[in-house]
Amino acid sequence: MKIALTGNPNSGKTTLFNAITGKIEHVGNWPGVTVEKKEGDVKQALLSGGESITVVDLPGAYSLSPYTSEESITKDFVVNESPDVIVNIVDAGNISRSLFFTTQLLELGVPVVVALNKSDLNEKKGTVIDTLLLSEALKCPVIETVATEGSNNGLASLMEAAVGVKGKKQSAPALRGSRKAETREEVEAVDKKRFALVSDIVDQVERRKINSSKQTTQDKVDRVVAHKWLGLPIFAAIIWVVFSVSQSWLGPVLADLFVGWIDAFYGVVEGAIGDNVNPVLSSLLLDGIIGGVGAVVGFLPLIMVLFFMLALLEDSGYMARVALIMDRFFKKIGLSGKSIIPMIVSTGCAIPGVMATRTIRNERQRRTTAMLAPFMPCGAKLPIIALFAGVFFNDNAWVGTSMYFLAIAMIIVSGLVIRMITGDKSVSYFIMELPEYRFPSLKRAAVSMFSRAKAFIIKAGTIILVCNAVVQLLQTFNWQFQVVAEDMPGTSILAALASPLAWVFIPLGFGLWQFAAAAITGFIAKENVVGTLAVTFSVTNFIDVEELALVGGGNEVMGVFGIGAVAALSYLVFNLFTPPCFAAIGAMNSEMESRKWIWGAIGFQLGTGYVLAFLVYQLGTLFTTGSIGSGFVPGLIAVGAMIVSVVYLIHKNNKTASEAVLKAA
Amino acid sequence: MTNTDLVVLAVITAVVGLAVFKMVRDKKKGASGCSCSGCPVAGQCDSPVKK
Amino acid sequence: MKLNDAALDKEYYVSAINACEEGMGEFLFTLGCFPGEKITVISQVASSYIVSIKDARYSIDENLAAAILVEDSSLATLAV
Repeated sequence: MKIALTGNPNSGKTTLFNAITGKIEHVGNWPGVTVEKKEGDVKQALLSGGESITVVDLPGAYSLSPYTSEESITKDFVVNESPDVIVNIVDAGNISRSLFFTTQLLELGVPVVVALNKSDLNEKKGTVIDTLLLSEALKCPVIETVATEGSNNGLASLMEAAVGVKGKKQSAPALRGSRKAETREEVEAVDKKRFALVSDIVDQVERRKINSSKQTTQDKVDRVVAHKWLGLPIFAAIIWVVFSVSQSWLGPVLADLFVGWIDAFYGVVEGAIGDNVNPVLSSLLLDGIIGGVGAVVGFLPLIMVLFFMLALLEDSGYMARVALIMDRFFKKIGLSGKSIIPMIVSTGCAIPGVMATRTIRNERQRRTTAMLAPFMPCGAKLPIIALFAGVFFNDNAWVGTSMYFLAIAMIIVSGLVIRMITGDKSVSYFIMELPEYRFPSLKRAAVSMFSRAKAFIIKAGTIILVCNAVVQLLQTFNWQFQVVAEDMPGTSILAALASPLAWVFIPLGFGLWQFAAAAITGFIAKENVVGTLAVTFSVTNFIDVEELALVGGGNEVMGVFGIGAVAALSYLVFNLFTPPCFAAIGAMNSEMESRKWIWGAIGFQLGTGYVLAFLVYQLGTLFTTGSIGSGFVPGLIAVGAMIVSVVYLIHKNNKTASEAVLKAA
Repeated sequence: MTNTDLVVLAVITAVVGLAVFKMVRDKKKGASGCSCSGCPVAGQCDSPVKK
Repeated sequence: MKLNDAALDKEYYVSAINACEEGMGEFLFTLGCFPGEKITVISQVASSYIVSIKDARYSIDENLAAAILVEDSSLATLAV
């Protein structure tokens, strides 16, 4: 049989879904984390024999009303896929709103079971709900659940109740005229009655100790963290703490240990194959596959610590406040706080981030957000940040933090430019439910961290591994398929392919074919940047910087890479702000639904990366050495051309806009 | 080619072959190849994007 | 009056919704924010308002706050 999970946003649907299926879907304590429906099978432990149950987790909705298009997924699903039972998850702390949706579900003709979730929080607040009376009033089973608990959570009884009502007819609480209502006014009149009915029920079944419209400690916290002037510095401080723990403090310690194991493994394999092996084969295995993948995987501990802390942050309910703080700035560029959610999701991976833009109604806002969200440093970009922070900047937490805030700043600047190009002047409203703060659960954060780590390892073992092997082969052979002489690495196929691009990068400070090659492989997956650099520079350990210096013959890091810290920062910026990986571009394409927009987006992102890297390198060189960097004039011409074309587009739009006004007049 | 060469070649082929096999299988399962199988929040984009 | 001018911590009754964005009025309705319902402004932070509607907290921006018209609870009861 098939069960559909429905309920208001942030009522804990996905947490309950994970608890009954044993899956590890991403959850966050803020509304709108789920945008796609997800399926899973109920764990055997929760079934008392009988047939297996498939559960479908649907995105949150406040109602089934036909005029809120955003939430039609629930209705479509119930109508098209006819589930046997609907489990309606109701936030026990807020039945006076949630039951509105429940009464609508009851009219669909599918048996409904209400899961009164988060009932533990009610106990703490001294709110009492008479479930028996509620069940009577709604004419459907009501089960108290605590989806966050491992045991004694009411989930087994919930499943039992779901099996029990299958195929039975339920009669919905009577609402006169609800079936015939067709016009907007009729629907609204019925819905008003519906709310009146809900209020009646709530009056009967609920006893509250604390009036919810009174100030609480949570509201005091809100006033500080969402303060006009303090909000942003607090957010910056939190991100800085996250980076200093993961990047400067705990992360490197764990990474050192971990990289030791990888090195030991490398040594074992090296010893096992001995000296009699063909050098091409041995370097393909050792430097290409083990070294390249090892260099990427070496950052795993750092990334795990970071993901752990971000998961804690998401769980606490703070992220919804970040959206609130940023709304003010996003308004200025014609976006709203709603655009923040895709961007926060993008800090994990840009693909779901881009998909989350679907909840934005305004088409231009949706497309702009899909175009800008990939600027946020995603999980795959973290190894690049960690690499450059470690090698060139002594593991300083400011590198990662500043990249986050640079990303936010770039999003705002770019958003402004896009608004001027498209000439859209629409105002938008922003409303978002503020979830209650809660103490983040270490267990949930650990589960989320391990699932992300697993995904990271799988990626390193598949696409990254294959790419590194290919890069190693391409740099071993020249066009005549002869092995490249050791002192002439520039004659390899890889060098020949990447060199033309390297010329373009001279004004950015990293005009070496190795960096160009790494930037190209980065489009397949951003971790490849680290892997390709490892392979092309024959460095396998990026964590232990002292060892790195030894590889370069006792010289400094500069000797190994041939670039200085300023150019390194420029390269970092370039990789973060160029178009994301192909997969994310694919996601952008399907959300934008416009050829013009997707090519515009790719062009814009390429331009942003180039201009920003140019500025970082040339200004940085100017400040540190007092003279301009290499290739300044051609670079300036290129940047100038990009700016002129953007200005042209803005001008063109203004002209068409004013012509339209003239025509209208 | 020595015997060791053959062994090393076999190992490399096996490792790369396995990696490609897994990628192809993931792609067939509906996860979009190099993206979602490895995406840190893979769960969110398990189902292919359809509109 | 507009919700922007409402005093903090005081219960008001919604008298009208003037949202020009399509669907917004209906959306607010599903949250339980429609003429006759109660609304309380909890605090004003950054450029937004935190309001309490039916046991839930929402943050709404200035534009939307201006689209929600409220009246004093005592007046509303008098009218009834």
